[in-house]
Amino acid sequence: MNLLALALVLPLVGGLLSLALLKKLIWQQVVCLLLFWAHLALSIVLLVSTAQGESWQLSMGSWPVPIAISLRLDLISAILLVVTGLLMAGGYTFSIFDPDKRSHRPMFAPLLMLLSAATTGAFITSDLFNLFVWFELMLMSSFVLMTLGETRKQFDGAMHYVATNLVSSAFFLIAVGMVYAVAHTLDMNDLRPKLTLIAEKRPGLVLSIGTLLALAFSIKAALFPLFAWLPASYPAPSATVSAIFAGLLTKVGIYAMLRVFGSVFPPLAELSQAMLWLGSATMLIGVLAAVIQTEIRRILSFHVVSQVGYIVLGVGFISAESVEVRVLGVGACIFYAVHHMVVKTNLFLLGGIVYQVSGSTRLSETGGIARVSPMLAALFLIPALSLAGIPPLSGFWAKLATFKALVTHGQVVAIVCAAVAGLFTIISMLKIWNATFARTAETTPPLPSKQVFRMLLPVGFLAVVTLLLSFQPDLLLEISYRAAESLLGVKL
Amino acid sequence: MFIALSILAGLLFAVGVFLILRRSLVKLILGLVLMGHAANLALFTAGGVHGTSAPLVAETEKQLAGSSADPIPQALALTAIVIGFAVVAFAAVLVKRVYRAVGTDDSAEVGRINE
Repeated sequence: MNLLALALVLPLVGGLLSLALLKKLIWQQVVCLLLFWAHLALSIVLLVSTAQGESWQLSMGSWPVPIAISLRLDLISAILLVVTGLLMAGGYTFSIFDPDKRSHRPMFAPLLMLLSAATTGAFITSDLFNLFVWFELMLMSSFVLMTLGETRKQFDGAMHYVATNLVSSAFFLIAVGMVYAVAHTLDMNDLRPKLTLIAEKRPGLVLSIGTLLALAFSIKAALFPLFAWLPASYPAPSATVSAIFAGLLTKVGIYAMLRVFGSVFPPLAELSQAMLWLGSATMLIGVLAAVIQTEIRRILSFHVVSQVGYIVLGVGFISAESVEVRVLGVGACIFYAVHHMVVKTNLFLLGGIVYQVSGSTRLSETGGIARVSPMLAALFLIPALSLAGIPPLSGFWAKLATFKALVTHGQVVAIVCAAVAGLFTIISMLKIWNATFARTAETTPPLPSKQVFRMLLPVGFLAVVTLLLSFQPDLLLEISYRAAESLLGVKL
Repeated sequence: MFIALSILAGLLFAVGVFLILRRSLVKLILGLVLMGHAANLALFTAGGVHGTSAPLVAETEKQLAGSSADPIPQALALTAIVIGFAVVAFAAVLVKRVYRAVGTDDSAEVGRINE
């Protein structure tokens, strides 16, 4: 059997199996846990074989290529599949040990499986309309996951989330229609030469379709000024759900942008320039909003926005004159995305543990955790310092690669914004550290129980991944640059 | 026909945006429905509306007759309609649950209770 098909079938079958086991929660958890880790293992196998030059492809219904909807795996998809597997496996393990009742709803595992299948589909599809369908599946499962638990706070967040994302889907759908109207195909490889031809005759038309697509993806990626839905909704659901959303969902939007503007549309200079400006604005405004928050999960949510700004800079490099600059920029973007997804999910999970230890995630109501549980404090420091970009952790290498690309491209404004945003990131991480971990609390929290210790297992696992990226950055960096080359269809 | 459908899609979109910007959650849902319809109509129109016969290959032929409509945008619109139906059904249930929990469909009130 084609392993690529298995990557998609595995979570879908897992979803069905877990639906069949709705009434037997223990069995459901055992089966899903095994399947999530199996999915991670499968993704790693796919990444290794893709990195060795194997190409994975699958055409639905065995139709010839531009007619069939095809699935294709290239390096960037393979990298993101592995990270998705990491987050899902780590997140689901955490949810089993998390006392939060919302993680033990019978519908939790099937929805998470469906989300995993939909993200996998979005990463490997090679058809524009098919990408829309996977996006919708992702939205649908995330809608229900977000409201699971039915608290008022979740309802309020979900209304923002649902409304904004449905508007974005409408934009996406219209843009797909326009692409079909001008090119009469939706297969990504088939579109490239056709759109290039059309762009020579009518550049304005192609640019306007590209802008509409960029608008749809920017809402999903939470770019400035379209990010308000994210901090409104992400702090509301259970720790596992917000951790997986924060790690995964916005990055799928950025992946779609990279894919569409890197390998489907001809280089659109105006759009790339706009993304550099928007990225700079997003990282500054996101981090400034994060600094003034007083609740851990809200701080982290605004950080998601800020970091998306760094990652989306990659789209700004796509139409650079020199091939080297393009590869440097997009490669840095991929590296940054991987680092960010692991670290951000880990921080949200830690936020969940802090809630279990101190009964609150407000900075004013927590404190003294470092003395009660030095291990928890140490595990917080790894992703927090990494997010802030302290050497030698992975965030430092990600920022270094980004700065290298920006300097080569000569983007002074973006360099200044990135530096300032980095400074404020350190400040807000210190704010959490001081309030929650270092400060002596008036009421010292009770000693962490065994359950809290078990919750530290997946957190420790993700921390190990961060440490691996920190001490072996060359490995991922090299694959990222190669992924950028194959995405952009150039050779250095 | 093409121009009429395009203008209709634009009008539907405009009404949808207007409804979404109201404070009432029920109007928000209606706005999303109309916006979805506008997108589906635009998708359908994008394939061109020049065809006069159904896109079926005649028994004696190898390919579609030139006069038939393009089937792909129709298939795409059909898929999008089904997805849109599911999403709107979820949104309607959500609004009902919000109304039951908060006792109002004013979106500003829902946000205030949160604080």
